[in-house]
Amino acid sequence: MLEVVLIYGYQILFSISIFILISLGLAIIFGMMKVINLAHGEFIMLGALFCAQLAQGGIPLGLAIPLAGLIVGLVGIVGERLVIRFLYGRVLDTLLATWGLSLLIVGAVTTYFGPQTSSTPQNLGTLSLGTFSISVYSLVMILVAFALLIAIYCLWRMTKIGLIVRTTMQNAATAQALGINTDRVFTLTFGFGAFLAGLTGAILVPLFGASPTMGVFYIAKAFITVIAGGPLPLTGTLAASSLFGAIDGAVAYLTTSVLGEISVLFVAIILLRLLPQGITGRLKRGV
Amino acid sequence: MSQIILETKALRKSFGGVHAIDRVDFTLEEGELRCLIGPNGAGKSTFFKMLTGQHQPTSGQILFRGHDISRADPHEIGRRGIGIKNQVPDVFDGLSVFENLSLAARFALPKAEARRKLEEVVERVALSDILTRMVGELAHGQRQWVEIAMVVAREPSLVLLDEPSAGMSVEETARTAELIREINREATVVVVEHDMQFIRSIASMVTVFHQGRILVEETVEKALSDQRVRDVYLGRSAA
Amino acid sequence: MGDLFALKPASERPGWSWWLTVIVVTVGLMLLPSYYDLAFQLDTSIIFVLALLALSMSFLWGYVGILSLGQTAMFGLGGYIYAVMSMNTGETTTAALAGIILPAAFAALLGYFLIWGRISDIYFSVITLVVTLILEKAIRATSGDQFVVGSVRLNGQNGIPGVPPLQVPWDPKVELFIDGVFYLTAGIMMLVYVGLRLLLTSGFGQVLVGLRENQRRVELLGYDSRKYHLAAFTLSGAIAGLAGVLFAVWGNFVGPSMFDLNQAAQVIIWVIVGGRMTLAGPILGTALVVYLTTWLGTQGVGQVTLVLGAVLTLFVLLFKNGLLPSVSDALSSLELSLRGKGERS
Repeated sequence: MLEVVLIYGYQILFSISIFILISLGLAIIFGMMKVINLAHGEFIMLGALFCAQLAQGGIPLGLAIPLAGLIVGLVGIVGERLVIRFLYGRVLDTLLATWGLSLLIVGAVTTYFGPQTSSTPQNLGTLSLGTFSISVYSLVMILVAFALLIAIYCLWRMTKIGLIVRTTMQNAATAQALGINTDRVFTLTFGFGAFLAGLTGAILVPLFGASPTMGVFYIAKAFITVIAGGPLPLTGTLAASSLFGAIDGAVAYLTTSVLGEISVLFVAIILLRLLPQGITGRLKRGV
Repeated sequence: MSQIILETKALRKSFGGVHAIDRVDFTLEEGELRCLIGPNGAGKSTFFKMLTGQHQPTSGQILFRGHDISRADPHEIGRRGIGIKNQVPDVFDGLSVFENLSLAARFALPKAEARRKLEEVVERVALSDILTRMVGELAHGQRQWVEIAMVVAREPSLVLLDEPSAGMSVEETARTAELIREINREATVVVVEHDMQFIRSIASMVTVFHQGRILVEETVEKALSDQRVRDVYLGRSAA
Repeated sequence: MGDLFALKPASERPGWSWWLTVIVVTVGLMLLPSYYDLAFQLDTSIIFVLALLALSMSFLWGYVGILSLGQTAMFGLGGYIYAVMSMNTGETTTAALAGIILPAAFAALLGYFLIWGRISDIYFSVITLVVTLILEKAIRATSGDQFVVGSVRLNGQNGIPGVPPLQVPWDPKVELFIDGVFYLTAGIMMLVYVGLRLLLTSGFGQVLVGLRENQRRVELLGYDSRKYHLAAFTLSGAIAGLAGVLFAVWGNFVGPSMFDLNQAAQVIIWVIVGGRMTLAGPILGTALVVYLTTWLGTQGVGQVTLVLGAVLTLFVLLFKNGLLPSVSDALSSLELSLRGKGERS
């Protein structure tokens, strides 16, 4: 009996963590700049790709992951400077322009790297739980997801950078009047969101591999998690991820992963119908 | 003995703990031209928005010719023959004056009649020389007149206007006053206003709002010489 | 230049020059098969089908002001319903009608849910996108033998091949071959274009345009915006379904790619390139982009996506209203400056 509970618990936590990881970057960008970055899935893909390449080149996984994240962060900054910054305030336009970016990235990667899938092995072994075995890497992934959430919260609340970011998020015009270079804040925030996406792709590479078209798989889930979460990046992501992760984890384990995804999408629609502003839509304060 | 066309009973609108409108009983007779006045924050706009269906009352009733319209949607209110003009012009900036009026006139009027009505309105509001101009390019005063023409084109029995003379020059204001008197010949009119000169030139009766309630309801001259009204406008509290 | 390139909302009755252009174009299209071979006809009729899909979206987006990312859902539904029904009954006329009516009904249901819930703007687009995703995932997962409707396997990833060609309604033994499909798709595309153009001059169409311009004013005039939006959304769903049926008839095949994000992105690109504020624009935009992508396709898959992405991004940044209006604007300013010079001398 305990076994069943632990297994369910594991499945659900696993699913929730994935939702958290893939949505955090997008949520921060959306929460800050009201930009719906449809290239987010491609950022995740790039992270996975770079990590796989680096690991194949001999760099240890522990180093390859953050390195891949940083590279993608830089890509994000370039994207912001060239495209996104002209479209602030135009939500639908940013959706479309970033959609264009995502196609561009997929096209570029397919042309340069070819359409195959690559992967990276990990050797952390497995853990036994009665008749089930769980890979230790997955457990590490779960811990990393929550650790990241806490780390960002601390950054947000307890550092000067966090204060600057929060001020700009509240009211960019006033922040500017206070001497904050809001342009730079936006650029760095976008870069940070991209970094988180790249990091996620890299972390998930041993589990899901890397292929040029995998972005589509992630963007849908991340997208609805962010919209359902509402304007507060951290709380919203946690709330929506928990809800969707629980449903996906449970349903997928009981039936098929496709049904899990479909149930999540259904619940998302109903949620948005009931709470059009997202879960944290009515909350004025908080992260 | 005139018919009552509009009345409110114990109308209240609260935002949180604040009563923007506090148990207002209001009556309007057919053919009247009433002005709603009062200092900022007195509640005139909130009252207006409830009449036009843009706010839902917290409690109380709004009756139009005996029908309860307290919870009606804006389009239902429009259908009942109430014409509404808000403070910020709601016109079709991307269309010509002609297209704006034609859209307004076509509702509930068969094609031929709509055409005739349109021509009539253009005459009344004297818009013939700007008929093909893009409404978004017109001067502020002209845009207001186009909107008034659109409202009038549907032959409403009650016309509600929110600060029609706002942002207008002296000549434009005089012209607007004339227009409103014109409209009053065929419809009951309620005007929310600030400009005292303007009010003097159009109204017979005024309703003075203060802190969500009706302070006095008198003729223009009496209201303006009433000490209580003066106190309220100058910020001293009224008894 | 005539109404074809006019940027202003199509609320005036089109003049004789427009009608003339329409007749000339239609006759021209109908004469093409006499000069070009079957291969050309096959390549071109798909453009008519896709242009229809683009029209369904641009009608909603440009004239009603709703960006629905769910057009590909109706497109796919129309195609699949035609396929499944015609392969089960052997009869294609009712299958084709079902492929139009059922997606329209689905649109009506979804529209009711969203519009009466006063879901606005970005969230509307999101939900329509999510619905499309659900359908795509559901269809892709039907690879197993158990996923059968009547006698037709849904086939998941691979789609349904061998979809029967359309029978002539009054003579079911006669089936439409490639040239027949060409005439049919060209004719329907022109019919829908003309129909929409005339609809926009009607009372209903005028209200729609007004709602896009200033919803509050239209409501204050007494129109219930919800009913009009729902009607437009349903009509657009019907057109997209029709496009789906024609797609199935054209290729004798339906597949999950009709539902996917890439397809949805392509529709948006066609509409943006052609210009969403006109009806003729998207037709030309589709032709342009589809020719471009087909040609690029011969150069390698990666390049196609890359170029499409670049085009989309560039257009959103620079040519938001599409090529046609920009060209028309440029021509007008040229005309003005030439006239100015004339007057001065």
